[in-house]
Amino acid sequence: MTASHDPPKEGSLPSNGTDEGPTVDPSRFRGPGEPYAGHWREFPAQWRSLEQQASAEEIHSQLAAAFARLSDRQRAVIRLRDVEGYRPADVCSILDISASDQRALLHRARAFIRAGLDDYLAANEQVTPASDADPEPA
Amino acid sequence: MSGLPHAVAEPKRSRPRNSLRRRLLPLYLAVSLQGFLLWVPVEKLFMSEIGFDPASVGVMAAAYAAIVPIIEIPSGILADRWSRRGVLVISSVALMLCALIGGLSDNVATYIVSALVLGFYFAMYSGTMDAVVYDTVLEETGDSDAFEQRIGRVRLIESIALVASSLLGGWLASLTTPRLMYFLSVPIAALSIIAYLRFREPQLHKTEEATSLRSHLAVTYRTLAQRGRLLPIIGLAVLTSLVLQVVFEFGPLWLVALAVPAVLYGPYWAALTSTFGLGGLLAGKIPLSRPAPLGIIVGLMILASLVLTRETGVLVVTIAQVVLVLLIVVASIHVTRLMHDAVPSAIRSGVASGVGAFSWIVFLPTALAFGIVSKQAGLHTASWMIVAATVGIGVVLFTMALDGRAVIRSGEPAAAAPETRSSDRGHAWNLYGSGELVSDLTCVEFVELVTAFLDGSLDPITERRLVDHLPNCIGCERYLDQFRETIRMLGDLPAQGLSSEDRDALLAAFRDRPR
Repeated sequence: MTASHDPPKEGSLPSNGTDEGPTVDPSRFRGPGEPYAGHWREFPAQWRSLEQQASAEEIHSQLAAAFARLSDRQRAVIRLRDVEGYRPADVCSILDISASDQRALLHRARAFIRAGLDDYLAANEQVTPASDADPEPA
Repeated sequence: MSGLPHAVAEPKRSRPRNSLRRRLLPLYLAVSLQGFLLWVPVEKLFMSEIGFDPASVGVMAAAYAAIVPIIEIPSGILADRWSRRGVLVISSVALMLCALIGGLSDNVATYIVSALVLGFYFAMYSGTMDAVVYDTVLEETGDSDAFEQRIGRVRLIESIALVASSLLGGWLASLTTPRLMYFLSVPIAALSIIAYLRFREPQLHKTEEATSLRSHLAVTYRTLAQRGRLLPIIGLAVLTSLVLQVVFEFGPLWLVALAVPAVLYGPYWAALTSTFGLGGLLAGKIPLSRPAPLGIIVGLMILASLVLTRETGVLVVTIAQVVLVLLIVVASIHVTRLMHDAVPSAIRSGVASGVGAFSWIVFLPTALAFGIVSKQAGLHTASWMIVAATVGIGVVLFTMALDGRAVIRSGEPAAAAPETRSSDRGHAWNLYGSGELVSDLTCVEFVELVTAFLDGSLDPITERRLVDHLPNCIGCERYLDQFRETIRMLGDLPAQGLSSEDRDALLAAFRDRPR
């Protein structure tokens, strides 16, 4: 888990479909040598609550757009696991992959989709600065 | 029934300590009954009556020391997978059998069988009792802070029972026969079963998903073998129990060397066993993670061990042994807490028993070596082994205290005291107060472990570090929540509407892809 990858543009992932490297932009964390190295430089922005969110269709189209940009391998795993609800062991046997591969692909895919949603759900949130006041997201 | 003499005090629900005490009461009772062994003070006398000589006593001690570690681990796994209370009941049955077989013995061979059954009892009891007290404290109060005090209470009761039964047994045996003391001990052990059955067992170790025996063993083994975090704790646990066992096994030899009259053995032994109780009272009151009090304690320990290497009078020797054992009991209770803080409930007894087994395995050659050295070169030369072990204990305690401070100093931005949280994270053992072991997980590591965490596929130590990190870090908590939210939204997606691509084609493409 090194943070030595070339820093991509702020706030989003380097690219889609990679199977290597960190799943969260390394520039989001304090680098080695800084105080609190390895901790968030700024906390992830809070997401809009359900009432503030746009319609389900819009969410779906966001998800689908992010989904389409995943690698085939990631898309297959996350589809089986999170959309169709298969258990880890089933996914491993359907796709004939090891448990750790299954988990790694799933994690990358989820992190990518979360980042896509983050761009969308946190984008208009200028109300609370990144300070605090921390109501649990619904 | 309004006419009851003292209407039983209403339970004060607002005070968890009270309900904790009431819950532990049957356990305390069982412990005191199990510790009430009338035959212990007259054992050596009885053994010589049925034909033991020093050599066969050695064989018996070796047999005993060999069986305990063999049974320890299986007993711990059994306690984790089945029931701690059940294992404690089995230990009571073994205690009954031991006294019965001992009382019926007419020769060395059958008495060694009874010693083996005693070893079986000890293996079943040790580790399991610690684990059950720890989990009860956790379940009742939400953190482990009261553990040292409560396990100290158990040690106190054990030692009161031992001292009382020693005095009573010695006196009764002089009126009747030593053999009768064995038979009288049987029904007392039987009563402890009833007490155990009245105890409501904590269920923390059962809240986690049932796992296969193989993976349970693997996790227990990996936790024990995990370097860095547990290693100094295990080392310390082994060293402390080693010194305790050596002093209890060989301590009377100093009196033999001084040709002390037999009448002094009783008070000597009572003083030595009462250290468990005193140590229990002191446990948790001395901040062993701070350098100043730690320095005083370690200095006293080493001083006391040094006294044993010199020719002195009976009073000085007794005081030195009592001080040494007392301080080591305090240190060992502290270590027990550190160890339990570092392992999850599902493997608690197994780990504790593993450490106990390891201590016995180390004790076996140590005892032989100590015996040989003291025979060849004298008791006071052999005592340097005790000094060495005591210095080792001091070094590890200091290293851990300084390490702990280093971790705290380089701590996290929001290093607020970890609060007790019993949210939906699904693992009971995250109910954990401010132990000495501070999580050193970074956020960079955290975000890569979220899926493994949600799947429950992390090893217990890493999982523990994640759980410890969460209350301190708004960023990671938010990240975890958003991850969950993402998964939820994905679950709401209609699979067909997801994309036009054919699912089968996707899966086929997956399989065809190289690597």
